[in-house]
Amino acid sequence: MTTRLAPPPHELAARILAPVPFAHRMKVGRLVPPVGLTAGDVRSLEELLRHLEPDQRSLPGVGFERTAAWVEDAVGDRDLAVSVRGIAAEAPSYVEGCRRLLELIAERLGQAREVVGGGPTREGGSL
Amino acid sequence: MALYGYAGKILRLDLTARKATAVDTARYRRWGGGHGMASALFWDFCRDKTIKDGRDPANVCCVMPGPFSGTIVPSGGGRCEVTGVGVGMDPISWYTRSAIGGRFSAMLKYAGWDGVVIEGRASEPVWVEIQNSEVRFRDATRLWGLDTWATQDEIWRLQRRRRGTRTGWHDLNDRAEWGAADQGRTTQLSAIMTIGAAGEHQTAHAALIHDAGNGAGQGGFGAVWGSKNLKAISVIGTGSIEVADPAALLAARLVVKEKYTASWERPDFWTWSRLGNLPRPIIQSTPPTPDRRPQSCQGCNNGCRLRFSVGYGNESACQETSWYAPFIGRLVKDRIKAGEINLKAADIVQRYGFNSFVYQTGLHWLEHLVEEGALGPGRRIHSDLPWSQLGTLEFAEALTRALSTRTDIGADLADGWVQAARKWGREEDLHTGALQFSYWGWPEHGYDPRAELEWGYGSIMGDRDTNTHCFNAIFTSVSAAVAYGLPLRLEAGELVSLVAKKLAPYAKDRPEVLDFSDANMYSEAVAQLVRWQQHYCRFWKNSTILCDLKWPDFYNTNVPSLEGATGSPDGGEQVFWKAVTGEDLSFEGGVERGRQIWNLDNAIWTLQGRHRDIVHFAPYLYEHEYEHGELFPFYMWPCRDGDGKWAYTDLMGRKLDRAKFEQWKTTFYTLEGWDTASGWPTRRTLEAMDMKFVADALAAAGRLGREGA
Amino acid sequence: MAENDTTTPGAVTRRRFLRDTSLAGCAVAAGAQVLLADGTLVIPASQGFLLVDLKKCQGCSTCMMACALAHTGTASYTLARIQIQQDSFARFPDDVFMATCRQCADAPCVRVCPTGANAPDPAFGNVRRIDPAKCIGCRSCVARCPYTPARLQWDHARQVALKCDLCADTPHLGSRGGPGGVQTCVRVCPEKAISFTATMPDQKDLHSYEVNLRDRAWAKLGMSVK
Repeated sequence: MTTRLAPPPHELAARILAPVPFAHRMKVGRLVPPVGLTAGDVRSLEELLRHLEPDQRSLPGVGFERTAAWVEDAVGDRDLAVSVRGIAAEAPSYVEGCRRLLELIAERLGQAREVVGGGPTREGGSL
Repeated sequence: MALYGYAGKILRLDLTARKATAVDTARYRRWGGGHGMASALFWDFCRDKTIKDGRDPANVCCVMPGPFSGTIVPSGGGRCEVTGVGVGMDPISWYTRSAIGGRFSAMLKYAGWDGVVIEGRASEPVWVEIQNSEVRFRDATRLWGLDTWATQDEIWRLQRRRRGTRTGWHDLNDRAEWGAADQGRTTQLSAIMTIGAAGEHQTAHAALIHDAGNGAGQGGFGAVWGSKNLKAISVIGTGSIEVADPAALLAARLVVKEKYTASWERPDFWTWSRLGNLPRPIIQSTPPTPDRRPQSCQGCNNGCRLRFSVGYGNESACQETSWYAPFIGRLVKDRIKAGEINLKAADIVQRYGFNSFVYQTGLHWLEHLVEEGALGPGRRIHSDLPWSQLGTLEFAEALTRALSTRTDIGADLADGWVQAARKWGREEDLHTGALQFSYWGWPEHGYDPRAELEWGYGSIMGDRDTNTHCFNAIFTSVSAAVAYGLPLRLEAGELVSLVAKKLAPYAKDRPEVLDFSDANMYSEAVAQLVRWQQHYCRFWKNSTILCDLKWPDFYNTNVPSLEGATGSPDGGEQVFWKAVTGEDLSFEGGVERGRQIWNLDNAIWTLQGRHRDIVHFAPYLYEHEYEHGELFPFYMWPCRDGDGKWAYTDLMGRKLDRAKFEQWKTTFYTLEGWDTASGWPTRRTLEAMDMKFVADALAAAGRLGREGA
Repeated sequence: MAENDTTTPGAVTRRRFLRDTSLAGCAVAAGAQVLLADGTLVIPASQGFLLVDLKKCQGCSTCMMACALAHTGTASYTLARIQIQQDSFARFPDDVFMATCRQCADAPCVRVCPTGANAPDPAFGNVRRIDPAKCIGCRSCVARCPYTPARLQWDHARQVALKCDLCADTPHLGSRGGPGGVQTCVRVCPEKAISFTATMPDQKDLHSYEVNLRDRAWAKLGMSVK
């Protein structure tokens, strides 16, 4: 996927790569028959990326609008939020939307890493 | 006259006196087997039915196969019911149930026993060895402290059995103590049910474990065994079970395989059926290797577990393979490595004999407390656990060890999570939903009561997280199809008609019972559905016994008519019942028998202290909406619109209305013929079911429901 | 390996060999075992064999219970002519073993039977069967089977030996069994992990009865077909 987003400025890039405070985490879930819907949360775009990775056994649960709002409010990336909303509007199915979202997030994280100097990937939030 | 399908006697273990006696199964025949028989045995042998904690020495724990155990009834041959007063529930630990699979129930039947009734308390740790009709109490001092897997290993060593396959026949006459009668020989390892550390320390989250991954988790029966100083029961049997009509049984089994189950030649991997899938493992992470096999309980139609070449994860499935996944993902990027940690975390809970279901929502709550600064080293809720390592295998073991041994925060959580919340001053979390323990102190299962009504309502009208998956496949199949944008195998109207055909007697051909829309969610129709599910499960599922994940089979896209095996004239539950037992019991007759068992259970709960005034969900379910997109973008379910037209509809975005739910309870009690003021059974209802003895006992205790109230 | 793999005498004269084998040939063609003048037993080959896929079995033991049911009308492990062994904790594929009778060409269990109870049955493709009416319960056949676990069963209640007859004697099966008919375990196995063949597997190869029955559907389920 080729992003239509301009590279983020340095300060935003750092935020894109950093975990948000616990209070600003985004609730997500997973459809895992026959257990049902299991709860989880993500605290960084890196974690969201992992949450969206394809899995033979289950489906990731995210709300696209909730994700867009979280990206905008908690991460602070308005451009990315607009793109997330675009996916929600255009994807022919939820699963295809997840796939596109995964690509979008991966691309954005790559941009951010380039901006901050290709430093090591954050391994997600810790307690 | 032969008691077809039964061994003929039930083993009664008095642990206090270390005495084993036999009870004639025929006395309990009307209750079917499994849960029904267990409830009747509890009724007869538990002298104090007001006990509110399963660790009370008066508690009676039954381990009960059913007539289908040890037979080829599809997905019925290997199930086993466990009952008794539970541990750690709130406000009262009810008389409750769990079930366990594997080989235990079949082996017990082949040893000549229809069940085990466990009473009293041994003065020192014991394990019980059953070899055919012979029963021995053994000193378990050296087993105490071993994990569930090591315990089984040690018992096999004591029995001079060699682990592994390609081993020879074992002559059961090898020990003189078994007497002169030929005990036979076997290629099988004894089947062992045991507790681990969680049970030895009598914690609320203690399970019974058998083989690598069979567990009876909910109910805390591991703690019940621990309180009785019972470490393990081992059984080996070389006998056989006579069935009434072997040819009919074989024929019906083949019908299920050849008509109702997807074929290997033209496989349908996405069939809409509960019974008729190809083996579909339900581990919740990517399998670590293709070098594996499906693995099943005895007699299963399609295994749901796996054994691997990698040396970990054998037989773990479902929830124990998902409890740690959300936390692993925080630290581990590689999916294969994450899967390895996930399965090894499953092994940990198996070895500790720990019911990981409390982690389902409970671990999120603990993390919440840590993040808020309420829990941790030197904090208000002190914990020395390495919380910064949450997500590592080391932390999974450290936490499970603490909770299994009453150390660290395990000291408080051991007697119930809701109780611990109160002790920690965190009752508010039950209002906000930070602690999602929805009913009777048990965690939310994954089928939120605000959306999937039969699950929530059935749980609160019963004794535990109901864990009866009769209907959830509607949600998962439809939601998955919608998520992928795939064509729906059954349209909403077609699906509800097919299901309703099977809901005799209360809801037969009444598809509106499945309408969970806002307009119908507190209706008489939904009450009938909840009744049907509880009654069906009390007999057909938990007394005969059938696997919860395979039965009932309402609709089945492997069959041109789309009608599932349930209640069908060629592969229905009643067909197997007649073939095994010889009794010509109709499908509806079985549901009616389930109603009687359900009433007996309610009588026990009533004696324990049940009253409608305490029949409430956790407050967050009334106070907060199940938000759209919270865990998934939608929760699809068939509902009618304003014009009565059926469509799959999202059930998120609502909460329960306390007043309307109170009205619904009244409707439910009325339909059951119970006192609507108290929820207690009435004499008229009980006597109409030939249960005068129950009415008399309730009257004597001053807890008989008033007629017409 | 030839289908009629009979045991020939040891050191014999050419003339005696021709005489004996011609007699045996007639008898074998007719399907009966023949005791030669020198005491050698000529056993006609079975016309059917069970093959198993040890990596496909799910360990449900349905075959065991169904086998006992079809033969005796009761559900049992002990009375099953096929034995499934499992070790819950072992690594795949050593966690399961399917012990089936090999219907040996040179069947030691037939050879050792002192009463002729254990004999090929010409009415059912020479499958080796035990006639319970003739069995005296000496257990010689059980002890003589060279495989582990022994492929003969001991019915301790009736004090007779049992063995796989490819479902020749299955009053509760509802179909004709034996070679050319239905084998209960083959038909009932949910995984299709057992199959029937009329071709005799290599008698010298310990693993010649183990086959790969895993197909494309198996691969689609994510499991190895190697």
